[in-house]
Amino acid sequence: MRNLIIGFMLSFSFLMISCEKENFYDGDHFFVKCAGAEMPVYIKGNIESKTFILFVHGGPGSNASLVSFLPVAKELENDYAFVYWDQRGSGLSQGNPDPSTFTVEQFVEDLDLVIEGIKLRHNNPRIVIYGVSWGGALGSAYLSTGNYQDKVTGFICMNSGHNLLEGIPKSVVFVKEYAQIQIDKGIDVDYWIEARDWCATVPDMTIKENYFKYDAYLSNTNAYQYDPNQVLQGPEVSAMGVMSSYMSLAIFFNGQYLAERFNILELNLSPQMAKIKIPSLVIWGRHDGVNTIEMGFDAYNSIGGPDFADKEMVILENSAHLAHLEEQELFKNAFKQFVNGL
Amino acid sequence: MMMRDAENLKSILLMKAKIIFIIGLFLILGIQKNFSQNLVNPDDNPKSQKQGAFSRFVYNEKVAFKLDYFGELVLHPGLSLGIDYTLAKKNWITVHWDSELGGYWHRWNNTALFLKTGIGGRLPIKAFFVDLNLGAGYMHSFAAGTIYQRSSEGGLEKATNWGHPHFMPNTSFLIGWGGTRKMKLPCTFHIGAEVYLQSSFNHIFLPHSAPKVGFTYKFKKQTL
Repeated sequence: MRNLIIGFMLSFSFLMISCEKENFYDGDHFFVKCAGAEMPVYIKGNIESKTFILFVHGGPGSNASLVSFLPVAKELENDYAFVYWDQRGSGLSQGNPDPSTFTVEQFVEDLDLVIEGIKLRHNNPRIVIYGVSWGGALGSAYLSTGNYQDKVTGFICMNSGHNLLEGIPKSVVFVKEYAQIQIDKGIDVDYWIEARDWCATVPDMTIKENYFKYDAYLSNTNAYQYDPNQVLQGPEVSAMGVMSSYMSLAIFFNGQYLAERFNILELNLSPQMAKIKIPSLVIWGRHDGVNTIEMGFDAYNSIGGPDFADKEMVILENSAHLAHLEEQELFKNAFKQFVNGL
Repeated sequence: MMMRDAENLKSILLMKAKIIFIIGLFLILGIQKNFSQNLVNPDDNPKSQKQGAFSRFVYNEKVAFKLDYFGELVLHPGLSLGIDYTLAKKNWITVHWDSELGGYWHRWNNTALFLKTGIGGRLPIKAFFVDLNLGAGYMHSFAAGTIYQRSSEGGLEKATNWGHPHFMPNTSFLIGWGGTRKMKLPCTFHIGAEVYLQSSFNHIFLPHSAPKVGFTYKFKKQTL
């Protein structure tokens, strides 16, 4: 009996202390509250550098929390502070925001609160917005709203969905061409004939049902990863890490509700991006089938307008939508060169 | 927008009050009813005549107190304290009604408090048992960190952390050890897992899992 009690107490003590894990909690964190959402902000890496990279995640409905466990992010954290913000209804975000708050304007307001929070807690550091996919669109929307760009030092716009109105039809063409290649190779011929013929009808991509159908085809192409055989370095976090970090199962379940209700299919920010007059870097995967390279050129041309010179474009030639994972070294070099030059 | 927020807050608080009231009423009425039905007749024991209702409750044979480690997602520490009340007992099963008050701390994520109640069936296997439970409760979660919001002047200000109310259906599976009949132990030990849902959380039922490790203790020893 005594052994049983001792065993029980030891197990209990282990469980009580084992939550105290090393580096998951190095850094800073806070929440921003707005219109029904309480959104977490995690700041990791080299805070002393006074250069804060604000990562704006994609989706809508994806997350930044898991990105903080990517090796490529960890490496960049050696040089800069990285800010991981989970948007409303996404990732580890809490609350019950009403679907009527799922608007670009509201997300811009949320992003401004995050920026104000960083400035308040870290004494006005340099802030660089680094937005990927939908995050690139949100960054563009933010920087072209009012005087918000005065709070930001630089903008990295990667594979962004800033103009879906023109961009999705181009992606539909990508699916159609990919389907034809598969048909020619004799791979899943019936499926790809159906996909090709549907894409050939030039469906109205502002209609949700059409979007979901196209998205199902798209996910079976190499739109996201150029070489399907390449092993990408995903988030490195063990089961024990998930259990002892700030992560929760919300990371897997949040986002779906938002994604189904936040309609950005008619989004076209290209005209207003001419207002962006801060140094900008456009990075694009040459073979991105989600937001095709034409949209990369559109982003580059739109930022600051045709006469604006403080911008550059880097194309990762062997990458698609996940370019930061597919060509990590080139991505990191371009990233650091731009940020260090600010 | 402000009006809608105020209305939302009002309806949330009203819902919260209703849930607390219903669970509380359920607990109080249920415990009272069952307790009064199952009390040992105080006239049988002159000593017990001097005991108050609380003491009679604590020393009731059907009442056990329980304490558990409640680790949200295993390692985020929490505790739950509760009462295990035997509703019916046969050789092959003990049906019990549990009520628990507890909470846990998930650093940089959330801190939660809960009050829950449920029915369970405990199936003995020699000195061991398996215990299946089903219940519901009220949970209140608070963001674990400083919260900022837009101030009326347009800047940033710290926000009061009121937290969020949630409905908390739950189920658990425990295995335990109750001692041999010869040992006449007043306590049982158990370990197992609880799965519970947090609703509404971003308009979904967010699943959670938590291991439970703990014991029950009866101040009144079992009659064999």
